[in-house]
Amino acid sequence: MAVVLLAAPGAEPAPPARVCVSFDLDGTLWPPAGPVLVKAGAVLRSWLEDKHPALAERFADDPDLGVLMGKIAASRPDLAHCFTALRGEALRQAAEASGEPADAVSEGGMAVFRAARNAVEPYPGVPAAMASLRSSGAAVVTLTNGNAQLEATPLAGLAVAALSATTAGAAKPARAMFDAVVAATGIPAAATVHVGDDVEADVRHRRGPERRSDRSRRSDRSRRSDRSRRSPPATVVFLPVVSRRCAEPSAPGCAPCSSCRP
Amino acid sequence: MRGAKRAGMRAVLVVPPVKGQDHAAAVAAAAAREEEVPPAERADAVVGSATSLVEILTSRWRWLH
Repeated sequence: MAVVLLAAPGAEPAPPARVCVSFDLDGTLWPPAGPVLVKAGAVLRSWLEDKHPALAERFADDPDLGVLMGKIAASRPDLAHCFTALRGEALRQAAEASGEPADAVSEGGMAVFRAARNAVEPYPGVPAAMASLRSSGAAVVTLTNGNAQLEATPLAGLAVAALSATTAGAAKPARAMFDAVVAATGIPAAATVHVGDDVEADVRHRRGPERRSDRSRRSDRSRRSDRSRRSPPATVVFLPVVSRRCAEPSAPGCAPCSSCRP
Repeated sequence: MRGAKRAGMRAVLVVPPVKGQDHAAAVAAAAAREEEVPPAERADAVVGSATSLVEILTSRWRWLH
């Protein structure tokens, strides 16, 4: 696959002694969460109908309790960053409203939901790449705003730490999330690279132009639900730009550019 | 990306494949958008797959051997 370099050669400083690679999960190591969340919601609904039919009947208009979760998020800012806490609390409140045992409903429902939520299929090559990074000495961690549990997925054992909005007490782009990576590894931020698919989620301060682009990114997000499972090409585009020219014109796979052409 | 950059980290933006979409073109378009971002907040690389991190860290940045 084509590799387009935009950075000037020789611009890299000396490599750090220890390196950390922080990976986002959904949309980065496996396809975006939309379809698996829909499936997990359906699994939860079936479980409620089977085990707690009164609750399921009472919340027939909110089958996966998503509406209730939204109301809780609005009234409980302390939970708003954490989908897991919101869902657990929604199950609890729904159980109480239906006269069902709150603890049993919440714990049982979350177990069912999370089992389905963690049934992800990593992109081809991802397990091998993570293993390669680890064997090369990098500290590999994961950092997600979502509720997937790495150790319950096919990528179990490939990261030294799995951090989430739940564990950090905040959600990206909050600085606390990235500070948690540094704290977990002891490797400074300058020797850490974060890898993720969602610019929007990681934007800390929104400004006018970014708000405009947000709308198109939301459109991109909706299209992501239809992503294919084919192996992604290894297209690499390097930034920032010192000068727009090819850094390694003779590199294998280098796409012809103005620097390469005679 | 911006959060990581503001935290002092390097950042790599992954553009996953979308069915029916030219993936390479999508990666190039994302890179073009990044060029419009202030350098301090700009992703250091845009890739089509997280698996490219091995190449980036070994062959490009030479952080790993």
